[in-house]
Amino acid sequence: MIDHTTDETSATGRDSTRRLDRRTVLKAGAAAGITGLAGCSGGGGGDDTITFGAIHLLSGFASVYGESAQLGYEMAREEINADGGIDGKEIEPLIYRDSEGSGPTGIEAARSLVEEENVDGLIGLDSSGVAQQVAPIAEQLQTPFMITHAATPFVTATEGENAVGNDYVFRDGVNLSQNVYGAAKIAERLDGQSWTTLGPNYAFGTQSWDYFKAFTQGLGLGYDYLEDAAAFPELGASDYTPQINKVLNGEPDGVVVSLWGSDLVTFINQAQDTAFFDEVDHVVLTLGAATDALRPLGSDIPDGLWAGTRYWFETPDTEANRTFVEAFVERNDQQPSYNAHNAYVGLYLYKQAMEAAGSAAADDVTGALEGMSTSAPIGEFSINPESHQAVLPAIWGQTAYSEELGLSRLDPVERIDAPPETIRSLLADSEYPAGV
Amino acid sequence: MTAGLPIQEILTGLSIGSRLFLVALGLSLIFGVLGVLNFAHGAFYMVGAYATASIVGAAGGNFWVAAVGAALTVGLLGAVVEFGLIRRIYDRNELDQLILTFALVLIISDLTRTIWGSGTQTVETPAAFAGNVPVLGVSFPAYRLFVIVVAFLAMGVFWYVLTRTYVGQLVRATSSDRDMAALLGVDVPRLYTGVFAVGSVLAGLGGALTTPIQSFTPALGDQVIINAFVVVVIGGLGSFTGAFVGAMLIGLFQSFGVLVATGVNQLLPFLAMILVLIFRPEGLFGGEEL
Repeated sequence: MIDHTTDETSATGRDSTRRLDRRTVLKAGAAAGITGLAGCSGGGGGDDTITFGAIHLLSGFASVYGESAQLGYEMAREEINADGGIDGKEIEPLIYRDSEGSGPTGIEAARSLVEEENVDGLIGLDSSGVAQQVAPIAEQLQTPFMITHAATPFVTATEGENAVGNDYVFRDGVNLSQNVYGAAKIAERLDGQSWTTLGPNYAFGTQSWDYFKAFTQGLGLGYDYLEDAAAFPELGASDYTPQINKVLNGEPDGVVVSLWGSDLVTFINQAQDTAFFDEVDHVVLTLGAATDALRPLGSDIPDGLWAGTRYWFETPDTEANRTFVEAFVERNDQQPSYNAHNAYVGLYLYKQAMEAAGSAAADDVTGALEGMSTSAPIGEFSINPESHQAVLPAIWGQTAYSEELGLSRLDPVERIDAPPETIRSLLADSEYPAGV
Repeated sequence: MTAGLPIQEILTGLSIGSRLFLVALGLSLIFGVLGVLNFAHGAFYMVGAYATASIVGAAGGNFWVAAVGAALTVGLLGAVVEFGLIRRIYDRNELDQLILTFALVLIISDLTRTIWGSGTQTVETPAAFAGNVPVLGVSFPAYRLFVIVVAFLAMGVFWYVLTRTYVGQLVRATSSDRDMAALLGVDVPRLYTGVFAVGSVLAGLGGALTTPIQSFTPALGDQVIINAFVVVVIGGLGSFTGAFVGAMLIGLFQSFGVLVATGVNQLLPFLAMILVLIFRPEGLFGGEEL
């Protein structure tokens, strides 16, 4: 695996010696039948710095997501280090690896970060598909993994088919079931009877639709689900018009759109050309309120569409959030995306857990993270000790173009509480894990 | 299925095919004459898109100035690449050409990211073609219709130039026997640079014309080059009739495939490619002289 970001890692002689020593230690440990490999790294005594390894999309059509996460990490790292580090230990520049949107590459990156770079904690992941494959590896490596972006409920669920949640995997952002629960609550107020979907053809797109159906059934809304009109275009498709034609042909009242990033931008523009927004009464964009997509769209996205997100820079209207947003805009000349926010919060969660545990050893950190409460720009939240999922509200609103910002704001914007008990009970009759 | 749907999908398929045709035509032309399989063709297409976005900004929003400027910029880039790099390895084996043009893909993609960033870019549809027009009883975006017309025009122009003009004769002569053409006084190196530049102009034009239809990132080139290769394999490398038929077939496969089942739109082009490779490895129109 090529390290794309050697400039981010300190390749000093001391480091390489240390690395060699560590490897020898690891080998000796393995030979002696000690399974706790990661136990040797992490707070392995005597370390005066903390190292994190981040895995993101850093190339390809969605590399903007990896880059916006980097903005969040760098800001958090500088703030933490300026404030005395983690228990007096400085955070080293993060070691970044490109997942390339591929499970095997993500696994390779996680292995390399733990076994070769001896990181104290893993963080990141943008794709649900990749996360489902990497989550079990965190357990094998016995290293905590704070997922900041990938939203599949299966990585914070331990029961049921395909559930891959485990002791080492946590998530600090709104997940798919919380987000789609919000979509169902929005749909509940609308007068649409027949619904279908247009979403990317992988875990995220299919799960968004499955959960929407499960939640709206759980809420007893009695919808008709138009499966024949549902369309799942491939990621990074250049033309969604064939799919738009198919969806429109079904004449749905409402459409759940789970496209994201530049795919969403292309879709919105092509949907405008095909009068999609005139013909469909209710368009619900599960990831529509992502600044990475709203910025290039500018005034091209119609007002009044329902759009969800995992953090919106204008809510909550608190001192903590305003301070964060101002500092972020000052540094980067753009509003923080949810991905930047979640990356920022992820490092602070590690700091809080390591300080609470008084150690950076993997099992101490995971123990401290379970049930931990924290205060972040998005507001106060806790991490459910059972699922390891942050208990957060779904954030939804309606698009309203702002001349001043040059992008659509959410106005009005709502925080839809998504209590784990409610989500679990609504999904009780479905085959899908709540992951909350 | 309503009556309008098949017509919508035919028109959509043709517009997808038309965008592909411009890229595949340049790829096929360069291979047919120079014998170079230009992996960097998709990267040129991407540069065309980015150049359009930049020139639109600088030219007060005039898309047409930007599209022509972008096509010429990419043509110039192609000429420089041929003159500075590819010319040096004509005599080496094809693997060296692949490695060189692949290196160009990586260099151009990373330069694009450095210059323009990796965020999503968009370009407004030119005002003249902003609305929808009624075609065969359905409402269809005027700009897409314009792109279809451009593709047919490009097909016509190339057919005319290659078969009816003196320059076309020189190109065909050089394509069929480079050494004989050189002995008869054709300035082969200059002709090669010219053809490579024209092929690049087509890539740049394709990139420019695609910007009002789709948003793009530095991955644009990777997305288009695979489909362009499928087109020329089906149509026959070096055949411009083949590129046209191949591109339109792929466009229609992609639009109608969606109606069959999820993923069929992606499956059909590759299935067609496999069948062609098995039963007619030279391509549907392969083996034809240019």
